[in-house]
Amino acid sequence: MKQKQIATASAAVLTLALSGAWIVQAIADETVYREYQPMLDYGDDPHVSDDHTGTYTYWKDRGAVDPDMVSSESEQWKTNWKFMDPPFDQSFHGGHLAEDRGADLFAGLNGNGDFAACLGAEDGDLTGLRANHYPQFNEELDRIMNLEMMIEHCAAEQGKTLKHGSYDNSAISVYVTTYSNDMPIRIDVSEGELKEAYERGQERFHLRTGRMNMACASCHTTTAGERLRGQALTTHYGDASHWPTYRTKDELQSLQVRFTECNRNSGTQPLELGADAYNDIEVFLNALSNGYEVAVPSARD
Amino acid sequence: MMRSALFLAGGLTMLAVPFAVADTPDSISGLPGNALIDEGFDVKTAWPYPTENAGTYELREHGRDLRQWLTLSYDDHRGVPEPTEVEFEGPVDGDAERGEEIFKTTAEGNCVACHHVEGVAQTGSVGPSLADYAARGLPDEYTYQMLYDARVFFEGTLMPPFGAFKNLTEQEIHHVMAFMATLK
Ligand code: HEC
Ligand code: HEC
Repeated sequence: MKQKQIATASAAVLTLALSGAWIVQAIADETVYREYQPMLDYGDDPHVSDDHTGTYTYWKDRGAVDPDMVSSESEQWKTNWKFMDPPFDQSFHGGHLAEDRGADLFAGLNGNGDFAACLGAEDGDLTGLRANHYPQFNEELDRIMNLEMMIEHCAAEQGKTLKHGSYDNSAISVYVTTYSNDMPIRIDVSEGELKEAYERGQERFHLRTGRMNMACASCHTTTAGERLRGQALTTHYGDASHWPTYRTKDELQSLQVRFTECNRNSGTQPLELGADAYNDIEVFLNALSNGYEVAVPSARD
Repeated sequence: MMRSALFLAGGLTMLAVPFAVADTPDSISGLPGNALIDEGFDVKTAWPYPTENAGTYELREHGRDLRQWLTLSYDDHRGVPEPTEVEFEGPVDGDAERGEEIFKTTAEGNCVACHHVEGVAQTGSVGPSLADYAARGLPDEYTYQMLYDARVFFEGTLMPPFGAFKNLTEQEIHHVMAFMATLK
């Protein structure tokens, strides 16, 4: 078999607007060939209403989602029904069990109020903690922390193991997150460390990886509305507001566990939970959920 | 801002937490240290399963070893093969049955993820339907290049470069082509 290399515009690979800290990384890897999905124009102060698929109007108010649209195979993706898959039984599902267990575990850890304080609650009040303070750049730990990493960290302070991604960690996360229900996500990525994480996360989201040469964006931007193995693809705006989620196939899944699932479904070797790339993608997706209300416990197929 | 308030209360110590992941010695050169693998597995590639009511998760073995391909890790400095034009030296020499298996199996070609063919319950619409592909009389040279590396014809395509990325072997591509000859 004869092969010949086709001249390609490799330069296009790095025509992204380089900025912030990851320029160093980009330069280090400049000599290798890589491909990206085309970047959307996300801006530096994104909001959920910027959704590029033009479907926001159908899902901005969860209470007013059109039931006919939801039950239509061809239209459902437009309702971006992310917090509750059909048959829409809000009343009871595995997420509620997780919330209850999370409440018990939390009470056990928070005897003298240390656990809540460690998570950043003022006077033990968990209200808005998820919506307004996570993910965050943590000065003391000098890194991006999501709520689950902080739960792991604060439990470790008490000598307890609650690994980010484990059921019990996510159960506590669901419980803490209920105190942000109906509050819009607010993450400021317009400056500082979170801005850099947001930009890096954007780059990672569009980088094509794995045996299929696919980026997160390959499935979550241009192909929204199309089907992959029967599953309709939806917009990535508004994705971050209902985690951890109960997967009806039997697991309580944190957002980063979902990343590992999408990674392996598309033939990319998953990373350890809490990997910098995943944290940055989490910041990026949260920024694209800015202004969208938190809704837990949630359930998805 | 919130951050200062957060840490006045906490009294955290950085050293207590083993966040950094140690470099893993591995047989695949360039695999980053934070790849989720389990050396005890045949395929090494692992994924986290959150076992109910536990503070740790279980590692489960993935269907295929994915270590040789680029990951999302910042510590992964590998690149990917550039678009590669190939010349087809026929004739098609493959087993249609084996080809069908590759076409429909997730850990192999997984073509049905994106392409519709008759007789499969859940197919995709990301790529064009291949239900009557053979009836369209496209030359083998074209099909072979599409399977080897579709990027040559379609810049930025979502169709994976199966040959160039060593996803499918030369022989496997022939098997798939033999199967595709039956799609009419
Ligand atoms: C091969 C296609 C594919 C790739 C590549 C892919 N995903 Fe997904 N992803 C899906 C499908 C299909 C779903 C389920 C349908 C949906 O929720 O839109 C999904 C769902 C998700 C969800 C849950 C949506 C929700 O709100 O419940 C998140 C978050 C997500 N993906 C993030 C990612 C990230 C991050 C990456 C890259 C590491 C990625 N995906 C790569 C196909 C993909
Ligand atoms: C992730 C999606 C995806 C997967 C998986 C995939 N394809 Fe494709 N395929 C496409 C897309 C998209 C196109 C159309 C090319 C374009 O416009 O980019 C295509 C085009 C083709 C064509 C050309 C069709 C025509 O009408 O010219 C053939 C042949 C083909 N694919 C075969 C396969 C086979 C065989 C497999 C599995 C071994 C496969 N594809 C896997 C997305 C995919």
